[in-house]
Amino acid sequence: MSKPQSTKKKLIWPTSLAFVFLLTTMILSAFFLFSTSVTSSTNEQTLAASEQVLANYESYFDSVITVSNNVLGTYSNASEITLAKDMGDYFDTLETFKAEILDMSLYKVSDADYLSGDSKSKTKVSINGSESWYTSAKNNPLLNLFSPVTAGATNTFTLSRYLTYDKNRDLDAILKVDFDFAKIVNTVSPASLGEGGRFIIYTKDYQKIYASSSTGEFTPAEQTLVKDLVIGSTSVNFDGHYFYLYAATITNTSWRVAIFTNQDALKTAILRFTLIITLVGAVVIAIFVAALVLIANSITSPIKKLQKEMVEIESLNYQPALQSEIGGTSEVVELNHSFNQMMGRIAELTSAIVSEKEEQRKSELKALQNQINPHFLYNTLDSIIAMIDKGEDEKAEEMIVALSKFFRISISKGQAIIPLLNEIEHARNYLLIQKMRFGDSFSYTIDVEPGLEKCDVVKLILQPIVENSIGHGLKEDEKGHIAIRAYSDGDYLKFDIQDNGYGMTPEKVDELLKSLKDDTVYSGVGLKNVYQRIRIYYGEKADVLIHSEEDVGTTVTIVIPKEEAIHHET
Amino acid sequence: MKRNLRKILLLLPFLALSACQSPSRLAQLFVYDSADTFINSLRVDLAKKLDGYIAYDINYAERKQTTQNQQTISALNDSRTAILVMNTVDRLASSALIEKAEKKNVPIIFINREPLSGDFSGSWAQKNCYYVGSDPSYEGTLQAEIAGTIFGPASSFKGSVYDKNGDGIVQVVLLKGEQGHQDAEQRSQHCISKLKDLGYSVDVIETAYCNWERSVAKETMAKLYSQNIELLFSNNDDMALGAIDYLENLTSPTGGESASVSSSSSMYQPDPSLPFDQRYFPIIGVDDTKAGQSAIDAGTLAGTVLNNADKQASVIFDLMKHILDGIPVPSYDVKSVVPNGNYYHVLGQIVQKK
Repeated sequence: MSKPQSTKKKLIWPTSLAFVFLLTTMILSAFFLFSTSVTSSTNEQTLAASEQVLANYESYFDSVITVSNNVLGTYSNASEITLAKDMGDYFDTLETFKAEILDMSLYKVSDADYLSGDSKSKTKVSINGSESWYTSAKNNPLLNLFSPVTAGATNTFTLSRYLTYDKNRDLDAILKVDFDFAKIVNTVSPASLGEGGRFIIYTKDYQKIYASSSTGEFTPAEQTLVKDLVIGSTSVNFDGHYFYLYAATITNTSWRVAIFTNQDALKTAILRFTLIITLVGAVVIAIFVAALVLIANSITSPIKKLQKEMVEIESLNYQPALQSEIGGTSEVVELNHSFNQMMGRIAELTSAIVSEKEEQRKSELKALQNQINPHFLYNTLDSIIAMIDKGEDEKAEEMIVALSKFFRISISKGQAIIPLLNEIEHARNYLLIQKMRFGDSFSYTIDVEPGLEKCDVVKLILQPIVENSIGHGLKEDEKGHIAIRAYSDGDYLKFDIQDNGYGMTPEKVDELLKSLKDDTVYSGVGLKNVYQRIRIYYGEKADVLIHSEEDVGTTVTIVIPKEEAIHHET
Repeated sequence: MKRNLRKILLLLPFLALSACQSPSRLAQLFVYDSADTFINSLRVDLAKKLDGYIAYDINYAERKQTTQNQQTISALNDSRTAILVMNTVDRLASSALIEKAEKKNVPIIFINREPLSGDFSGSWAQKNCYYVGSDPSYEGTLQAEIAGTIFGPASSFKGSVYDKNGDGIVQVVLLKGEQGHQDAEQRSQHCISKLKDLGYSVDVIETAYCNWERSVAKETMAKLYSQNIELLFSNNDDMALGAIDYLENLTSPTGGESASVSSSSSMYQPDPSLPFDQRYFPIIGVDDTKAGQSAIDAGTLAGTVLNNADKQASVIFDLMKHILDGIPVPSYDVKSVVPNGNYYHVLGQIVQKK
């Protein structure tokens, strides 16, 4: 069995853990939701922006290809006789509508001869037929072919196209159109793509067509990222920035576009959110735990006080002092209230019992004191009468004085406790009277240790034992002696009453002691009476000892705690 | 017992997952436009064959390559996708799609829109990329052959019933689908050159772009009718039917308006007693659509070239089985399918009134 945990621990640990778990879960979900939603919404916006850029390019190239297609259609229906002039006029017309067209010209497929061109064309000369725009168009009769954008101040590119002339295939031609690329490039300002943002147009072989970066290069690092993606979108970390990379094909061209949009702000926002939410979470947890400890304390501390009180009850010296109200929850207050009521009731009952016992003790003591043999009075009075009869008036007077003293002390104004010297005096008077009665058949000595004068004792404890000694202890054939001694021995005050009589066998002593301590055997006289009284008054510590030896004598010792005797000093 | 129960409980989520993944592999079909008649019939033919073999999804791009790119990326991100069947919007995008598919090692069969010759040059592409489509130049050739069967030997053309102006030269009008369209250009070029190869003198008097549409062709015919036309090649049946629509109106009893136009502008009065192709001129299409077949039966369409959707679907299906399960590709009749490396061209067939 494990040790049971305290309420505080039981309360704080699971609740704290549950709360921390709950909060952590909430923080994680919040983080997850925030980062995914903010990422996806930012990505959606960036994607939409990127797609818009692509759409701009596609519509631009769409119009470029429309030009090419229109030329193809016009060319295939042109009259063979007026071919050159008709096409030249057509080109001029086109150029007036399409500002981005810089130059248009036609070359025969068969011999690369100049066939026609716009009126301002600077290239009214035949070519040698090895130009790449020319050969690629010749080799791909169904495609619109685009040359890379020329670097430098003028961004231009060339479209070349094989034109079939169905009427006379000898007049199949290659169309060459120079376009101004700057106009479309300028629709996407690199600034709108954020710091380091860029876009690159490249061929399917990852050869640069156009790059918006200041260097105008399609760097190997960029190529690696773009090759890895091919088409679609992804997030990349590169050049010290976070980018949203979008790559797509440009419809109707063999070209592709890659757009790098700076997303540092997104990462910063997520980072900031993470920091804030973690901080808030930590603070909330700290506050919660602190509050929990306070609450737990407010609940458990009154209980602890109560518990402390209860522990004290177990100890003997408990005083029902707990009357002050303990704070705390209503349950604890009620518990405390009930406890106080209970303790009050117990105190009431205890004091009732104590006073009852006190009464009982007093009455028992009185009763026992009153058991002192009345025959002594009659016998003494008889002795006095005899003395008077004999005319021994002085002796009679002496005896009457002794008897008077004896009774005065016996009564002692109803007090149960009297000064030790009075008790000794009482025993002395008794001995005096008995000695006079029995005609000096015994002698006696009384010895009180100095310093005991101030002690108080229960009255009438010596006389019954002295009475026993005179009655049973003295030998008839020799002179008896009775010695009374009062002395202190350690914590105890002791009285020895010693005689030199017959003594007793050890069996007899045992029997006597047994009868003393057995409540069922009632003997109202003498030793047992004394024993019962000192036990009532002084408790367990008081005792009566008997030391006896046959033919040597008996010593009865009364033991009472000195503390009690001095305590009753007045 | 308790341990077993625990094991079963642990396995439950996986069982649930595997239950969700019931179609273990998936074919992804990409169609450039849901409205294209030929592609739709090809799709239907292919779907019939795929049922019971492999589960498939169809993605319509609606003529936007950007959309198709996105659909391709999504399909490639689906782990179940085992193969792509790709009818591109822009055949120039093929190389990018191949590159992207290579990253996930998902094979592609391109259909109908032929990738550029260099696109299959990579080692991965050579093993995993195929093309199945018609051979538009051959279709053009067949169109010329149909004309040849109608006209008879070139030497006897001069002065024949078809040589309306008696100059011995065939005055040809071309109805083209689109400017710069691969099929349109190749069909057009090859029908003319084949006709010349057959020995005829040819004069292409007009090349008209009708956007593949019947109504546009009808309007175009109204403009061209005044000229002496002796033969009409159309890039597809729809445009041929558009031209026929106009001509039929000229001789129909209710076509009063058209008749007045014809009487003033045509060099020759159409004689209703003559067969349609002699009354006007032979009209030859491509595709053999249902409407085209009806026109052939009615005698208005002189002939057409079957663009065999069902055969193409068969070849696609054969290649899918080959790629996915290693089943050898059957050897085809050389007159119907011409394999050339990873390119499979399904040849057209002449369709004429019997």
